[in-house]
Amino acid sequence: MISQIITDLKSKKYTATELTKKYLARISEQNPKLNAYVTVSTEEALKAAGEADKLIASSTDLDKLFEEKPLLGVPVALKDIFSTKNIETTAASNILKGYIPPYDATVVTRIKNAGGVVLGKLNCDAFAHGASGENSDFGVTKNPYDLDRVAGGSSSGSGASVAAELAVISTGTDTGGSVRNPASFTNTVGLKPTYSRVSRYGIIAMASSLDSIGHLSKTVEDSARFLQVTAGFDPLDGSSAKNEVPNYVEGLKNSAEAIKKLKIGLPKEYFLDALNPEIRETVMAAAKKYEEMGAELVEISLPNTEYALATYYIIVPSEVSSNLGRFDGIRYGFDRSKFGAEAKRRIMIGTHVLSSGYYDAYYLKAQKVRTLLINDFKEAFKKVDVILTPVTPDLPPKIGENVNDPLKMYLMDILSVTANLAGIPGLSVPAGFSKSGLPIGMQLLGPHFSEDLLFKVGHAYEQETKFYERNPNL
Amino acid sequence: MSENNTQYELVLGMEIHMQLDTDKKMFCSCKNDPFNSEPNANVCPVCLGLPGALPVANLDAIKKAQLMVHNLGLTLNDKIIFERKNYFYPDLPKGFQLTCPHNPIGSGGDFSFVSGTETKTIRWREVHLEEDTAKSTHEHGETKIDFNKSSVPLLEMVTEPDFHDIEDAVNFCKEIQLFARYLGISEASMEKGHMRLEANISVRPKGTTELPNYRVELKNINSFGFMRKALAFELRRQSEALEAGETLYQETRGFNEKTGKTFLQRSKEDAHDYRYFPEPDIPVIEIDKIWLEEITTSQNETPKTRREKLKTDQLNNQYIEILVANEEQLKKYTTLLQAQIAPNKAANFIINEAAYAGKTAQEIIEAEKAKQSDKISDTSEIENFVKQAIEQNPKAVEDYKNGNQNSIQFLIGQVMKLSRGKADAMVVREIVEKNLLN
Repeated sequence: MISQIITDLKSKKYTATELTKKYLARISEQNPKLNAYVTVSTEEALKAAGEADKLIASSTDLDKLFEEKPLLGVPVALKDIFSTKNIETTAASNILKGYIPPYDATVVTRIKNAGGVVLGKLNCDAFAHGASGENSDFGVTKNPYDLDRVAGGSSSGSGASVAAELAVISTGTDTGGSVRNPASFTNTVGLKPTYSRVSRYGIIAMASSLDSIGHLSKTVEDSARFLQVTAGFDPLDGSSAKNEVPNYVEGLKNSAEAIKKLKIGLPKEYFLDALNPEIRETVMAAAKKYEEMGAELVEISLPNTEYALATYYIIVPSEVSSNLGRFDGIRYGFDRSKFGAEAKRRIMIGTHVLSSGYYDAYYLKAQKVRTLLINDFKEAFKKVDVILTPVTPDLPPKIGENVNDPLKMYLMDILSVTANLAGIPGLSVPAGFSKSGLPIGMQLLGPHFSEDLLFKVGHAYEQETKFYERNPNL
Repeated sequence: MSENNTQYELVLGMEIHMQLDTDKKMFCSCKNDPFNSEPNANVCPVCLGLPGALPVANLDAIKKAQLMVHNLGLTLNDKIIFERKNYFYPDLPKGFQLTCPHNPIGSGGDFSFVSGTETKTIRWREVHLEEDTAKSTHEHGETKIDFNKSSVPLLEMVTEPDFHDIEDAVNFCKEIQLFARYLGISEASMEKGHMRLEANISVRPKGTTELPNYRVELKNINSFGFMRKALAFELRRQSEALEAGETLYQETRGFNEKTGKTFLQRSKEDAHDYRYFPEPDIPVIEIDKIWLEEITTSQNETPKTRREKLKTDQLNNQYIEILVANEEQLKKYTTLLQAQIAPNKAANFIINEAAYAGKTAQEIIEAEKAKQSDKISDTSEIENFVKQAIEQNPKAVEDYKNGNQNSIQFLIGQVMKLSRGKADAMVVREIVEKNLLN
């Protein structure tokens, strides 16, 4: 955890270089099993750690130093969709194999400026298309809690790396659940911030109007500390929000207090008939826990939920078909035959629905449904403060279980896409385990820019349950 | 032109593309200077279309566009929405071009301009702002791409198909070029590629008023001379085709400068479906009232206001048009006026007076001052010289009366000789004319 690392570095219990080496060693030991990393940037990591050590050694005011550099010496890993200067960035697609960006994504710059040590780049579904990590061109990432199962997706390496302690914190992108889904599958905390809260500059786009830049960590506190660094206006991202960034970590201090009199909405549409019974029980038990802590549970309705997934699978392929147009074989080495099946599927669907004569019936209609979904949430948040739901309808599937059934794969997103369509923040928090020992997450949804509230609510539960203490047997 | 042209009428709409003269490019902070830079000197992740890079709209470019659009007589829109125009081309690194055709800078409105001795009026369709593409050079079987031009702000001014005469269209384009220069939004040099023309051409039987059900898009014409030739060729080609009973279809054609002919580039079957949709990376740009007022209340000199001013100087139209179109000469003219030289005389010095060709305004003023000091101002003395010249040159007088305008110059020259150059040439001309008319 970040706070422990800061304490240890301050007290010189170990150096940042020692810490980095420990993580690098663990990566070489565990990654062959998990396939979480696609690139390990040993040299850059040790250089950054060395610089951190120099700063610590020469500092006369360590408190001030760590205030200015809140991630100093903290081992961080990046989904391979974040552009990193001089480090290969592939989006886990063969078409980009060998592409070395000449620039850092804004988030990467911010992490580096905050003293973070980038250990490497993480596996994911190619171009973030998927919910299981199986669409990666570089092999599936395995779930640290059961190596026969997927670690979720698309930020598959992000969930696995944090769960297996191959990184303290990993970045992810969430277009329809790609952070929350792997978090729920790996007993980690996954934040999908409000759309526009974190700059998208330098992050390879999937669906530009939905992409939210998040991260996964062991604890809610780490998630809050990290958002403190990544959030905020970026002049290089025309859609980035100018809203002030609150002090998230400070807000956690009275989290138990915040639960008292909190109204938590349970939307009936999210507790589907097809929902895995163990997930239902676990999430309902969490709700009861909140009730015990003083919260009020309110059954609510988000009536347009049933249209969300169809809407999502119109908007996403449309934007994907345009965003992938630049990979035309002229500039990035490989031609379009290197696109995987899922990318091709999305390019074809998107090209079709944007064609003249179809645009109004599909894309424009989908945008209208999107407005209905936003209104659903607006109405709901008049009645409740936050909404509690499951993250996925099922437990982590076995590797290969869904690969030949794209529709079944798409259904994994059914409970998470709504937050992206509405642009609201969502936090996936460990809620427990199945009888077979598989992690189960729960999803907290709040109004736009309510990350501070979600952190409080998640933190209060985490303090009661401490699921982060339970690690996979590797 | 072939004879059947007399039976067919040209139906023509113009599209003028103009690079805006801004410091930065349209969607990034790179220097906007493609003409003077080494290849690929002004590039960044955004204009190279690198994965992850995002466009941010240049408000200065939008303001320059609005200034032009307002002065051209269109109504400014209070909402601009950039959209992606998706198509593949090597000089288009993102696979789409950003443009705002459906919620453009301005729409509608009329525009009047002088063509020959007449004033013509056409209607605007719209004016939108987009990004230019990169530049491809093909040599030795290789293609090189220079991205300096990629994402340079490009204004596209689109008229309704209201032109029926080639010269009208040429004069219109020249007038737009002048507007751009007066408003300082673009150097508008055709040679440097700041300004490029496209024409949408069809023909119809004379006397009919319906719009033809096809149009031929003529792309990338880069001089007024080529425009004349290309339009004339198309008018003839289409008229002959219709005359021969052929059906004409929507198509895109280019102009071959060497053969003077147009050639087919793309037929209707190959037309692009651009799959337009709003650019998610650029939020809708709302133009508030204060912003709009700043544009619409600013006082700017345009070719029109300049013409009005010159008319109050009592200049003839020929002088006015030359001065309006030529900034250097206009400056000289203004300086001469400030030195108390009469407007007509000043214009004449600059435009006609061979002795003053290539001279600066200051040199002209000095020379005039020197002459003034020993000038014959007594008109009766000049009158005598004139009578003398007329008596001595009966042939010139006769020629003039038979319509030879040049002989008046000869007589003026004779008078100047008799006065040993001390007579005022303007006064001499007046008196010679008066005497010849008697």
